[in-house]
Amino acid sequence: MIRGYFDQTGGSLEPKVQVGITTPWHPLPCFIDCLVDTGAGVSLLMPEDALGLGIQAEALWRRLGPSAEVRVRPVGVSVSLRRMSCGYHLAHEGGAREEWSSTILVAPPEPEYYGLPSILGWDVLRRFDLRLNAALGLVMLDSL
Amino acid sequence: MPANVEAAVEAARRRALDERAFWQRQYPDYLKRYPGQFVVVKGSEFLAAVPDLKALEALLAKWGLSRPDVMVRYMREPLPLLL
Repeated sequence: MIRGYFDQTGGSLEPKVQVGITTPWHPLPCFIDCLVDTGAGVSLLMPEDALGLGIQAEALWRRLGPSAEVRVRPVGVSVSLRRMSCGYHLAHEGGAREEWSSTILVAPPEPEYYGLPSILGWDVLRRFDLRLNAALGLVMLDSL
Repeated sequence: MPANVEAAVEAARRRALDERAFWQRQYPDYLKRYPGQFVVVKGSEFLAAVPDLKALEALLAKWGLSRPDVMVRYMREPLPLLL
């Protein structure tokens, strides 16, 4: 079981879980706390969290280039993001780890994304039995 | 996974947990002092607050620092998220 937590520092209850992200140029995982977003179809890395991947946010955005562009539709708007190959590492209680290769979308290094948590969407969540219970403070992901 | 890599991954994971604990304790205080800025901390020592990512990256490059040598967090106005 992978155990997360409810973060209240942002002004509301935000279910989060620690996720390790690797890239081809940074094979050691950078561990970040991602928002478990059951309304998101895809996972998204915010610029603040991209700092840990050994590349500056603007350089990362340029490296991915226009060919990696992906359009997504948050509530009320449509935005352009970029897709990046990555590895995911999630640690179970007891030490076992789940690791796999996939992709993650990357947000542009723009102020409107500052301070927002990276997002774990259904492209990742579909691999788990997800349980959220705010009253008990439980965020749990069990392998299927 | 080789044992040395395994140890490095576990160390990185624990460092991230320590960082979470630090911000859970310190975020309200830093938010009061530096709203709308990136706060840079090394160990528990405040290093700087800068307004944008470009300034942050320039500062870290100037000091020869990067994550995870330092902790960085943007002091976001505490409003509920609607993503």
